Amino acid sequence: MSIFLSNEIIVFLLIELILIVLMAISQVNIVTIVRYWDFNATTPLQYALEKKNYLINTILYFTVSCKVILFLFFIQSLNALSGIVPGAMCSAGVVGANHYGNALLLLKLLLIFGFGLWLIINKLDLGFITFPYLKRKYLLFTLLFAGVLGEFVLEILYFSNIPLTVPVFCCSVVFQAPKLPFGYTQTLLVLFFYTIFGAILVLNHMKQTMASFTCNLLFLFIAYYAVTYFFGLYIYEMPNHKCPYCMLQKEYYYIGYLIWGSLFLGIFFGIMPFLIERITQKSYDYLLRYSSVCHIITALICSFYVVRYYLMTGVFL
Amino acid sequence: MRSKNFVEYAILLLFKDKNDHLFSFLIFSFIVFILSSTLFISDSLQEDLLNSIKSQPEIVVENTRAGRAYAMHDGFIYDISKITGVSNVEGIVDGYHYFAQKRLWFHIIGDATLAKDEMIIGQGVKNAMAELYYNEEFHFFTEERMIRLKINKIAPKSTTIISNDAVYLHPNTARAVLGMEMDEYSKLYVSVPNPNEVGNVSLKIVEIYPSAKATTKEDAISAVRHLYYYKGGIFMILYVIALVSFFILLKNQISLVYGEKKKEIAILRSLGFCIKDIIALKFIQNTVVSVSAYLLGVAMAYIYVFMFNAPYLRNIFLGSELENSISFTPVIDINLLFLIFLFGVVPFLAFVILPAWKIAISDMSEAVKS
Amino acid sequence: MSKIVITNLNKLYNPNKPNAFYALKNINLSIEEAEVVILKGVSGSGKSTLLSLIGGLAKPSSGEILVNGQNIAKLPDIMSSGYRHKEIGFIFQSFNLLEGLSVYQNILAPLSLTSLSKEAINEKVSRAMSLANIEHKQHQTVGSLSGGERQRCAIARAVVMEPEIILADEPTANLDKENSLMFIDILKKFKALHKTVIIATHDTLFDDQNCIDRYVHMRDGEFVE
Repeated sequence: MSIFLSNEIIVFLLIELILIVLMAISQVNIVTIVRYWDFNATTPLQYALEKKNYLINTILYFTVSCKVILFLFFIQSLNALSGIVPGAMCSAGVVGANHYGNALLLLKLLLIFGFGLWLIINKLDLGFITFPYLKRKYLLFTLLFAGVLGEFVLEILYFSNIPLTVPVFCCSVVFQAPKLPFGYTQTLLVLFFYTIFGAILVLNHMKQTMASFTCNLLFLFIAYYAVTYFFGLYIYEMPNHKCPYCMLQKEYYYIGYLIWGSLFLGIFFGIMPFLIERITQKSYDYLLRYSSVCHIITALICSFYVVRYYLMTGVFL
Repeated sequence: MRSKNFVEYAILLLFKDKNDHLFSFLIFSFIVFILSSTLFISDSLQEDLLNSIKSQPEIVVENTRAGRAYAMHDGFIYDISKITGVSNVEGIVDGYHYFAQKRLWFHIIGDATLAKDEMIIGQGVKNAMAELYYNEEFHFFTEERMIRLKINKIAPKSTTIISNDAVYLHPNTARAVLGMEMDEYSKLYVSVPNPNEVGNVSLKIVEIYPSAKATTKEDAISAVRHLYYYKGGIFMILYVIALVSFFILLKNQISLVYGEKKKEIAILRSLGFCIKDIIALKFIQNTVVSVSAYLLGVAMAYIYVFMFNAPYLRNIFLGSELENSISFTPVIDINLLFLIFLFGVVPFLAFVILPAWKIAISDMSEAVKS
Repeated sequence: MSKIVITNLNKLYNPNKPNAFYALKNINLSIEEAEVVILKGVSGSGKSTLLSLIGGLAKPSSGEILVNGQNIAKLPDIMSSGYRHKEIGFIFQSFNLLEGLSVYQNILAPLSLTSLSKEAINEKVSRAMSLANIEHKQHQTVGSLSGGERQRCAIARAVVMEPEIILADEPTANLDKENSLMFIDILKKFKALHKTVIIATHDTLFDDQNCIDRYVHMRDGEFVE
C-alpha cells in the first residue's frame, strides 16, 4: 500500500498541481510580456500586455494564499501520517524519515518569503503609472516558479521515500544531544539567541537594512535550534522532549503556531527591506519596526515558559 | 482593500443572478456531500475499531498448521507464561460455525462469565435465526450431535460492529459447538504490562512455537489504519476524476452566460470599476457560492450518515453478508472538514480565475453602446 | 486653465485591416470649466467616439486628452478607472441600467467602491434621486419603469459621486417630447451646479437653449464650422 493513497497527500498534491498549472500559465504570459513590453507604445498589443498583468497578479495572490494554507496543512498532515509510519510518534519522526524532509521544509519557508517579497514589489510597481519594476518583478517570478517546480519534485521524492514497514526515528533520537551542531552547549546556544535578538533590535532601530538582513538570516537557524533544544523543554516540561512540532498540537494550546509564526514573520520583515532596496532602489525600512515587534513577541513567549518553570519548580532543566 | 460596501454589493449582484449559479451550487454541494459521507463513515468505523482494539490485550497468539488456524493446548499457556515480562496468559475459545440453512457464518466467542446453557447473540444473528423461526432457541448442528440452546439476550447496539454476527457462549459450550477438545484454545491473550517489552515477548513466543502468530496491539492498530487509508485513498482518486468532469461542466456553464454578463460588467467598468475590482467581484461571488455549497454538503452528509445511518453507501464499507444494523457514532474531526474544504473549494476558486479575468478585460466601449 | 484640452486626437478602428477607418481625425478642442457644450452631427460623425475617449472608456490611437492638466489617454487601468469613478458621470443612450435591481440599488453601484458609512451613502443617493426627480420610484425594479423614468435613474446614478464632468450620449433619442423637456430642466440644474457638460446629440430640441454655451459641429470624425 502506498503512501500516496492517504487522503491528506492526495489533496495536498492535487492543490500543488493546480497551483503549478496556474503559475505555468503565468510564466508563458510573462515571456510574452517581457519581450514586447514598451510602456510608451499605444498599440493594441501594449494594452493587451497591460491586461495580462492583471491575470498574473490575480494568479499570484491566489497562489500565495494557497501556499501559506498548504504549508500549515502540510505540517498538520505530517502529524496525521505519524499514525501509519511505524515508529513515528509525531511529525518529527515523519519529517526525519528521510533526508529530504528538512530540506523540503526549509525550501517551503524560503519560497513563502520569496512570494511575500514579490507581493510587496508588485504593490510598489502598481503604484506608479509607468510600471517601473516590471522586468525585475517578472524575473523574480521566474525564479520563484523554478523554486516551486523544485519543491514539487522534492515532495514526490520525500513522500515516496517514507518507509511504511521499517520504523523511523522519533524525536528523542533525532534531536538527541550532543548532536547539536558545531558542538554547542545549551548555554552557549541561549546566549547566542539573546545576543542576536538584541543585535537585531538595535540594528532595526538604526535602520541598518543590510546588517539586519544578515542577522535575521543567522537568527533563523539559531532560533530554530534554541527553540527546539532549549525553550521547547520548558514548554513540554521534560528534559528530553526536544521537538519543534509537538508544540503545534492541542495539548500545548497550539502555542507553537504563535512562536514559529512570530519568528518567521519577524525574520520576513527583517530581510525584506534590504532586498527591496536592492531591487527598487527605494527605501522601505518601516518594515523593520514590525520585525522588532515580532521578535519581541517570540522572545517574550519563550522566556515566559522558562521563567514559569523556574517559578513553579525552583530549578532549571 | 475592499470595503464592506463592495462585498455587500457583490453579494447583491449575486442574488440578482442566483439562477445562473444554481446549477454549480447544487452539483458542487452534491459532490461535497458524497465525499463527506464517505469520509465520515470511514472515520467513524475506524474510530470504533480502534476503540475496540484498545481494550484488547497486548499480544494475541494464534497457532497455525499448514497455513490454517489450529488449536492450542495448555502447554502453550504454561510456556508463554514463563517468558519474562508476561503477567498473564488467558486462553480463549473463538471460531466460526456454519449456519447451513442460511449459508452464513456465525462468529462463536467463548465468554467465561456466562453460564453453561446461556447464549447471547448479536443483532444480525438474531435476524438470521428469526427468519427460520428460531425465536426462542437455536439448534447447533455439529458432526457428533445437535446442541439446543435458549436465546437469552441480544448484544447491545453500541457494540454492533463487533457483535453483529457474534454468538457468545460459555467456553465449554463453545468448544462443543466448534468441535474442539475440552483443553483446547483458539487464541491466547497475553498481557505484558511494560509496553517496551511487547516486541521482545512476541519474538520469544514465535521462537518457542515457530508456527504461531503473535500479533501485538500496535500491529492491529496499524493494520486497521492501513485498511482505512487504502479505502479512503481509492475514493479520493475517484473524486479527483469526478471533480475534473465537474469543472469541465462548469466551464461550459460559464461560457453560456458569458454574453449577457459582458454587458453588465462593461456597465460596471464604465462606472469606475477597475479590472481588479471586477476580478474581486467574481471571486467574492464564487467564494460565497462554493463555501455555502460546501457547508450544505457537509451538513447533509452529517444528517445522512449519523442520523439516517447512510443507507446504500454503507454497504461499500461493511462487507458482511449479514444484515447490518449498524449505527455510526458521530466523529467529527476538524482536520477532516478542512481537508474536504481544501479539496473542493480551492480548485473551484482556482478554476474561476481565468474566466473572471477574461470577462473583466473585455472591451467596454463597444459593449456599452449596444 | 481649461478643464479639458484635447490635442491632435485620432482614433483609428481596425488598424492594419482592409476595413480600417478613422472615427476621429486630428481633433483639437478646449472646454472651460462649467461650460455646457453640444456636439452636433449625424450618426457616424464621431461624436459618440469622442465622448467615449473623454470619458476614459476607450483609448485613442494618438493624441492627448488633458483633464485638469493630467493626460488621461495613457493612464493604466487602475488610474483611469479612478478617473471615471470620481470625475466623470456618463449618461448612455440606452441607459445601461442593471436589470433585476431597484432604482436605489442601481444608483448605489458607484458608491460600493467607496468606504463611506451607511448614512453618508443614503444621503448621497437621496440627493441624486431628488435632483433627477426619481425618489418616488426608488424601490421599484428598473424593469418596470417607463423610458423617461429609466433615464432619470441613469442620471441619478451619473451624478451620485458628484463628478465635475457630465457626458451624455444622445440622451433624448429614446424619449418622448415631454421627457425630453424634463431632461432640459435637469440640464439647467447641472448648469446651476457649475458642472462641465458635454452632450452628443442630433436632436434639434437643444438648438436655441439659453443654458448652452457652445455648439460644436462634427462630420466624418472632424470638426466643421
